[in-house]
Amino acid sequence: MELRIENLTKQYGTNLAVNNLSANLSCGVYGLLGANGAGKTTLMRLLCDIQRPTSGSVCYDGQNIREIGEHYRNILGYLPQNFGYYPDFTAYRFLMYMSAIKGLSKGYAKQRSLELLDEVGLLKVKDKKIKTFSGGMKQRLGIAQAMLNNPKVLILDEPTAGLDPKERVRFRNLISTFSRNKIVLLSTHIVSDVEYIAGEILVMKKGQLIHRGKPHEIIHSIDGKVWECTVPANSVSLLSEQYNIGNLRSEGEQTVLRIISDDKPLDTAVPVTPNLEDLYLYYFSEEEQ
Amino acid sequence: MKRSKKNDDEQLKTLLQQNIPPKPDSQKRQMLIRKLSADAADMDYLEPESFSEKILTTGSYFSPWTWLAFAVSLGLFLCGVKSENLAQAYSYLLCLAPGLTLILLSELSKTFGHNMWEMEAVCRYNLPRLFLMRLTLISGIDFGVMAFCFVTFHRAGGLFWEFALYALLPFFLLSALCLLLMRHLGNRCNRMGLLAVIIFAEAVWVPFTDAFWRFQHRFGNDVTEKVVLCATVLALLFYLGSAVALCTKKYYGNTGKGKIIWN
Repeated sequence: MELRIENLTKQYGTNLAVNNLSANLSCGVYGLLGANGAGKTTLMRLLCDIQRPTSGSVCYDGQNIREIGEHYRNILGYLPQNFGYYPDFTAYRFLMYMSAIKGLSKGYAKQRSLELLDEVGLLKVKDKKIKTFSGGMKQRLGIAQAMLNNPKVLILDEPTAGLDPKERVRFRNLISTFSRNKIVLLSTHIVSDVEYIAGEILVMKKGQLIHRGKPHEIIHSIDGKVWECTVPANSVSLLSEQYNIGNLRSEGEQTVLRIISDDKPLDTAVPVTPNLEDLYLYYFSEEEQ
Repeated sequence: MKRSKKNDDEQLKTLLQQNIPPKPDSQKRQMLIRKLSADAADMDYLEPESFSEKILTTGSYFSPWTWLAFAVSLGLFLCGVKSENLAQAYSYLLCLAPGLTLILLSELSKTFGHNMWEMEAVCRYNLPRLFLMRLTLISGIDFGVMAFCFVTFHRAGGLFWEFALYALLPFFLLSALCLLLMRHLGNRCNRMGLLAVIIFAEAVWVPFTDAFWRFQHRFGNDVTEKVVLCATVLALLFYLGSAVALCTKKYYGNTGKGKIIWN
């Protein structure tokens, strides 16, 4: 089982949302990391065959997904960034509806919907209308609908955005549970999500894949570029203008700064072990400003 | 900022894995399709359904308001015809067309209105097929309602060309116009916008019907009947064409002109 992305490009007017991107995905969880506007959503839509690429192709087991159409959709699960729902539907009815348009038999759909509602912790509220659900409950329902057809390719676009930490942890665990023997692509700009569950991380910037690797490998690429130093509180603003500050912590009159920089920022600065958040800041600090 | 980028992008681009695109192989493609079909056959949850079954399943997920709206449309019309005042029946007929168009569009556009299009697009029965199923069912009911209304209207003394002028023509034209708008606008389609189009078009149609009466006084019933019938057939073809256009559209971004349809 393999999803091959070949020189994929998507252009909107003069803007290249995805720029000649190539990658090969086999079974496993992939975290797609990138700032807002990096092209993550466009890439995911292209992988789902919702949008047509300007050039390049996406192949499942060597065949263009556009050509195998329905066969590909049978093994595809997708949770879009903006999870929509019919507000008058209950959670159970919503899953039954999604099952119907996924072409699942009624008997299987009933059983699978109840199973999934149980797994995502919504069984008790299955007869309540979705419009009464919290953000976390809606997202859990979203992943349940993506899992209805037991997909081989699962694509989740920023599934943890807007969730509180408890819900995020819960959601991460759910994804890990569901990810066995699947190609799971998870996009986010919340780095801790991918750090925990992704076997491999793809870093996307300006429509291109600029880095790919296991979390620890990718983090190693910025070894020696993360520093910590203690400075007087009144010099923080000056340093903030000069350097990329990852974190600052007040300790009385002093402030402990975490600085991301190629060069040693101050004589007193000591190198520290980088984490994924530092990596994100290293690549995307300018875009986020 | 002191941090130098040192041609980050160029350096990191070299880390990209270069993949050699496979050559298209129709035999391999057929083999994969056979394999996926065999896999699907093993998955007892993927059920082959006839088109009528699919339509009925789609109908079972219609909003209860849709069925209520059909019932109200019929009820109002029956009340209007019962008065045995044909002039009043014309007014009810004029309301019937936009009412039925509104029901049709409400069911079709809910996909966009509730932001369901992305999820529905990646399902086995994707957006064009879903639209086809909804459109077939609602159009079928609409034609049933129209047929029932015509029989009632005819019994009350109304003529077919009158019915076509007040109900069929505006229904086909309005629906076709709105379907084309939906096709063109995609998820930018706004229900209130469509409602405004319907109201505006109906407001234009009312004086147009008066013009037809003047035409009838001048040329007589036969000629008027022929003209209205021809116009109705053309409007029906326009409606069917719009329906086909909506159901066959590939719901992708229009890359050719650089327009963003779905983003």
